[in-house]
Amino acid sequence: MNEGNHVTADNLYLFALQLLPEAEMRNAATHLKECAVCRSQLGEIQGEMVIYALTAEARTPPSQARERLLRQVAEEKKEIPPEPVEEKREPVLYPRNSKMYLIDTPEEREPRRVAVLMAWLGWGVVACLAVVTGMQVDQRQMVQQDMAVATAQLSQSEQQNERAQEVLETLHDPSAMQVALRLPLSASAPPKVDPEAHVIYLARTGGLLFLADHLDPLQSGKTYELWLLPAQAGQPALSVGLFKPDANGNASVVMPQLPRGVAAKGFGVTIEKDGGAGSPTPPIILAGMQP
Amino acid sequence: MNSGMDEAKALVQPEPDGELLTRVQRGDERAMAVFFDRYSKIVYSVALRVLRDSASAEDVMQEIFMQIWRSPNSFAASKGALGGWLAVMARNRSVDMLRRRRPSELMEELTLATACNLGDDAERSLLVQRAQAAVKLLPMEQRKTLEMAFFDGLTHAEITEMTGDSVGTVKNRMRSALVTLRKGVQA
Repeated sequence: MNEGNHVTADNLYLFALQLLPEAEMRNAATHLKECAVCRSQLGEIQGEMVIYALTAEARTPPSQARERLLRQVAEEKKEIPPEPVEEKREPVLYPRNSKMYLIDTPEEREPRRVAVLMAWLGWGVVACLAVVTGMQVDQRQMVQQDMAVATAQLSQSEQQNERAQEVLETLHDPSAMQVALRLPLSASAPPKVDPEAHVIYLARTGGLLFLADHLDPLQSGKTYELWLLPAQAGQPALSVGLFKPDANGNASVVMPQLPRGVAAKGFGVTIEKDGGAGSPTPPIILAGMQP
Repeated sequence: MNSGMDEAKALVQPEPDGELLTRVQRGDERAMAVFFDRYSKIVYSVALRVLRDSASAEDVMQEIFMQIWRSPNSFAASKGALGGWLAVMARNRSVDMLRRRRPSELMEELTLATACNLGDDAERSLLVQRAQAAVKLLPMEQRKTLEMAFFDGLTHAEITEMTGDSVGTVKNRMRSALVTLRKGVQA
């Protein structure tokens, strides 16, 4: 796998993508620990990987993810070592014949007293100025912090408002598609109370609201998955989201992140393994097509 | 209140990653909130693209951010741009999860060469636009092969099996695609 002593360029790419067989990964890793040239090339490849990673469709993490992280961070509080204390300096001892020792003679005591007084006066003025300046800086920082807090709150409010607007728009837009999902005709052994669901979908914005009731409880390790069936022929079903009903059989999917502009001919619900599936697994539990 | 102020400050004037890492080293929990707000979207998006499951993607994201909290030194400036590093970590950890294997420590010890500053919203947005445009210009075979390798975590042998192409062709397509992307973004 090596060219001379180095890992080949192709294998460096596979190594960066962690796609080499395990034994070759180990060999390459051993070489890379010692070889700055190959490490440098690998760094460039990983830079290319960053660019490609950016092409993943942008999705906002669930709102509770932030709280979850901060909760765990708080649980794993760090032991912060105390600030190192500066060693106390020993007083400097001057030799008896030094100038320092001789200055405190009776002849020089009076001028020194005046000098000391003047020095204290000077320090006093400086201290006053420092206090005034400090107060001004504090006030300025407080104003800046207040502004920053206000900006953050405004930004948060705008985001919430934007989401609420999206929900309202999806609900009220006359062009929004409204589909009721019921047991398909081919379904056998229906439950006593039929599960039912309703989708409101606005293709232009990708906004979607899904409400279901009377859903059967799921087995362990299973989840319901809602699918959008594109209107364009040949397009595969698009996963809208996973959901599990509550104890009363109710469930909802509200404003999942869907690409904009996907026209739908209908929607379906299937039962999948936890984590969802790449495509719907029969049977379709609920289905609804645009009239 | 203090937490709100710190986050607000970050919105008004972004604090450099290096300074945030120093705060994390000192145990400042608020710095982690700023890191999360800055990079969670890119980390989550990449993980979700690979895993196609929001709960698993959230787990990967949590693990990565907790690694920053536990070992901030390992994310020092020598790693290059932190955002880029986190994006690559998100991809690698997600593929590890898909393949149910342990994360490779070596991969995370290496220095990443990129000038991308993903912490800057404007720069990130521009890079995303350029990257997406560059991907669209790739030949379909290259694009598909790269997608299978990078986001689906398939080995070159598996790709070979699925596409019927030779190993050499698959390797060459992956390499060419990434090089073309870099050039396309830099152009």
